[in-house]
Amino acid sequence: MSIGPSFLGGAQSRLLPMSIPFRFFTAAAVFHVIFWIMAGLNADRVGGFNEGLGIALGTVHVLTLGVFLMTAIGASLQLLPVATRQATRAIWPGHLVSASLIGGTPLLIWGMASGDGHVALWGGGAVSCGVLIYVIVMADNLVRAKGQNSVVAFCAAALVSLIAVCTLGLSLVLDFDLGFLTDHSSVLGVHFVLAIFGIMGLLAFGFSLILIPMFTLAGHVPDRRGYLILGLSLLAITLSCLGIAFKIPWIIHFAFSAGIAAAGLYVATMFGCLAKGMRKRLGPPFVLIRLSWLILLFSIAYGWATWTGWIVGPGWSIFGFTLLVGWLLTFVLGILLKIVPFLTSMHSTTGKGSAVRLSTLTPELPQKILVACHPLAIILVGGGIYLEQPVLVQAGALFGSLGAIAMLAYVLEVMRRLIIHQRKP
Amino acid sequence: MDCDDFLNAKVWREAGVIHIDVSTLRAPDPFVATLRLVACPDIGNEIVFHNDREPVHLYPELNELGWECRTESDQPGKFCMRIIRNTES
Repeated sequence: MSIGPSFLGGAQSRLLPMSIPFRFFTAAAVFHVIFWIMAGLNADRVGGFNEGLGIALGTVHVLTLGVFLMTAIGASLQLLPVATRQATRAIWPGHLVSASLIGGTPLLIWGMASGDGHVALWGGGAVSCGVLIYVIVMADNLVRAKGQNSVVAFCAAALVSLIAVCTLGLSLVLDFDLGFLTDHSSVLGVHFVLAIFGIMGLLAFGFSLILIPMFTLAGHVPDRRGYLILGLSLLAITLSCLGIAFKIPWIIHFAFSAGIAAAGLYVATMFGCLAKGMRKRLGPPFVLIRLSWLILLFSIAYGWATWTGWIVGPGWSIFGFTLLVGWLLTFVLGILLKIVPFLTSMHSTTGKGSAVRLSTLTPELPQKILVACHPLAIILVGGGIYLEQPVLVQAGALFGSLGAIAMLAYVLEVMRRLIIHQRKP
Repeated sequence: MDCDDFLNAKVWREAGVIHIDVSTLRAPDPFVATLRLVACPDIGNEIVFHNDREPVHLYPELNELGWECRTESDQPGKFCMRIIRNTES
């Protein structure tokens, strides 16, 4: 297909250079492989991420910082300016954010995993600098936003959470050396809630309001519905933080009920988009995305049941695992499968004006391997944690690693196909 | 195919060519309405697209579906392009 030179002329000036989002996506794919390898090698300690510095805490941060935050920043730097109709003012902050985050994250993880608080602090400092620049860039864009009010509100709330999580995270790392926090475990609890629900949860919910109707060809989600989901989510997050910080157990019950209402409304809205959408063949990415929505509901219900004492055994470890791997990782992988070729295609015009098709860019085999291996990994690792059988965790991590290698191959193959296309005479 | 629901986009025929104006819609409706339109039968081989900005997210999908885009005008707050069916694909 021959496309005129004007095909993406103006658009490309509005898009960041492809290297910026793709360095985040590639880093996320690499950290995804590292996560499963670390989980497999430390199968007997995988549920103990709340026990302080050590391999389990490092493994969790490979996932949260290495995979989730990298993906969220790479995608939002590229997608938010289009959604808000406001171009990013400059490209250099994107380079600074990537240098600080991609450089600082391995340092922070190494410090945490090896128990070296000083290394963790240096890494945490670098990550915080990157986050601060990112927050400034995004806040500037959100302030100038036209329309998309509920999405803008989700992103603004996530940015506030991001600042709080960084501050609390640095305090926790410092506390390992200085011991100045009077209640380390409460601060850790608030840090966890804000990181999972305040940052990633709100970003996942907010961007879903645009991306899911877009991929399914459904109409937009009404703002009233978006604000209701946001309000319930913020209520759940606030009540959780208050309940944990001031040790008020009954507040946690209200937090869980608000959380399940928010998640239920969000999931119902998303399935409504699938039902109303014109496009029914959604492919492998939506196998993962659908699965992630179901696991989200399961994990909050499971957490609530654990809190009320209905579930014995490693309830909190299962809660953490289903949230982080079952919901967020599955969702992030599904979204990455969709947006990596999509964003690449937008960047694919050459000086001669030809654009590469989505189907040409999308490698089928790695998608199929990921979609087969990832759910197996969830079942085996989840079962292994529940039954306290490290061998099951190791088997699950093996499947997880295969899926992660397939995901990395997918990202690299998309880029390889683009390069081949661009080199064509 | 629902060929009468273009999410409040303005669709009209002028000199035998279909025009679609999505400038008043909020995301992702401009994207969805345009893809719904190009999937309709009997719309001919050419559509004139009007928006308040360049539809960057539409290009990969239109390209995949075998449509070619040619910018007619790109001014602040006003963008117009011709979407042409690629009969070779």
